Amino acid sequence: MRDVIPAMSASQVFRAYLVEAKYEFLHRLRTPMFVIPFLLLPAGLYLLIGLLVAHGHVEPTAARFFLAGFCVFAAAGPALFGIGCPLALERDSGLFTLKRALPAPKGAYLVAKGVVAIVFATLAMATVFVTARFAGNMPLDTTQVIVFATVTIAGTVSLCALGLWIGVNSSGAAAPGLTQLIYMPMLYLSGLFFPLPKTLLSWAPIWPAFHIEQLALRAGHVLQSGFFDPKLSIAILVAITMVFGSLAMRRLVRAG
Amino acid sequence: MRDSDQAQREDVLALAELRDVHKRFGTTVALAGLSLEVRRAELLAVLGPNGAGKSTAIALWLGLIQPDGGTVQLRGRSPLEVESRRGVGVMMQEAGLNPELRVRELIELTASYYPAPLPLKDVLALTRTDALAARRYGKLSGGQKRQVQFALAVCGRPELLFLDEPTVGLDIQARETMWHIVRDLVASGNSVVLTTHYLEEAQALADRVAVLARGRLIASGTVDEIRSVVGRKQIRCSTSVEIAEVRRWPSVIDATTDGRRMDITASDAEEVVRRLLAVDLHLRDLEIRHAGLSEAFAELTREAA
Repeated sequence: MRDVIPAMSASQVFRAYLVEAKYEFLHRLRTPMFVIPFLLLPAGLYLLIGLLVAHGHVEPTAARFFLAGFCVFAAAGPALFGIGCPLALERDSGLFTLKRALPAPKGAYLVAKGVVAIVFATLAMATVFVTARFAGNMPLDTTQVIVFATVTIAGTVSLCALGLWIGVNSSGAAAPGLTQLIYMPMLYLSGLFFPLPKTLLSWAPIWPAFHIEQLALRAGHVLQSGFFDPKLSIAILVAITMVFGSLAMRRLVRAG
Repeated sequence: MRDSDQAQREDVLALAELRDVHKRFGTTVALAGLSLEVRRAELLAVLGPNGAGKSTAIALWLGLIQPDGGTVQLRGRSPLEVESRRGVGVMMQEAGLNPELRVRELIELTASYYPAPLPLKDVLALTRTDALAARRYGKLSGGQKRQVQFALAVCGRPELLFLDEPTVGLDIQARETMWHIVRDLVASGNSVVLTTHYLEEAQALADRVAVLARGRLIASGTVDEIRSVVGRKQIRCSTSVEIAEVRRWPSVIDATTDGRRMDITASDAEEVVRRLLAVDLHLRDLEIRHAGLSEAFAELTREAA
């Protein structure tokens, strides 16, 4: 007769979370389909268009606005695609079922995906800042960068919840396409890259990226004035996070 | 003291148990009052045709689905409790592990879920996967992937292993290696639940066989007990009697020949042997044996259909 199997100590449970996150990170880092569009493309596009900005006759305010838009764009991709799409794919492949059968600490799988999505969002945003710095076109000081980045990352949690909800409700084949249906219009219709005409501007508040940028711009004093109530922006982002996050978790618990 | 009580309690209880379990998916009845237990230090082979309820039973034991009725226990607890699964290793039929991770990384990740896992080098040595350790999972052949999945199943030092079609895609040498490891695990006190379509695998490994059909347990016992459920026997001999004539004899179910020897399946083997000896005085190399597990399985599941 063997002894009773020992319980996991707190440090072992913590280590299991860390190891899960470590290999989730490595897995993403080694997946070109994730790294190229979400980690490299935003900085590449900024460099391409930023050169025009650097050599064109653009006002400092416009340069700040432009950089901020690219940073939100960079952070939005990993957040929106980094949890739900891999979950949908791994559910189709049987990996998600295997993880549920194994004695992994509760939540380790999702926490790892969430943490890694946020880490990639931060890295993607950092690559844009670094690109701007080395292109000699950095219109923000260090404090502004830190505050702007922190607020943006906090805001992208809402996109993580939205992406998760899409992922748990669709197959691995459908999830990337469905996420794109939200991602692409959101990038343009949130007014990240250019001031929107009045007709579109009234619809911009339906997109989370609009609120993320508005909050980050104000908090980092990148722009002195905004046109949307920041308290309302916070409430909308929190509501998106709570609603889509709880719907996704409910579905996961019920149907696996 | 509490640990000791717990140990005693677990010693008495079966390692895993389904008691009068019912499960339905929409209008399809997957399990209809199934009762089945896994005892300590035994290899239980769960056999059955497609749709018999094997996968549903395993999914219930692993806490992946909930029963509509009856009780499910894993190591004396609900399988939904992560503590109950800490003593369990799993090898599933379909498990698309992360292709970008290396084998040793996958083992380290899975081992992190267990309180007292085997060291990495021991897992690699035990499962003969040393040569694969640095390779990315996505670059492995189908058989090598099964070997790695087996390594993941055993890395946590589980006392109960669920193996679902473990040797599909393995070459003969790798299959025999896996059989050898499984035998050693059972001999050292572990339990294994094996589902397989290779009946020779069940025959080679199982201490006990459970045959499921239409969500019910239709037979359970040792391989010999299951084989003896079927009255038919197999006769092998070298004879000059024409096969067409043998096939016409009453109680002969089937007869085949490779040109040198004849194999006869009969419901009354003694009667057939008497008749063979009467018509062929030069009959040689006579062997009579009980039906194999595959014949027993076919007959049991046909009766249950």
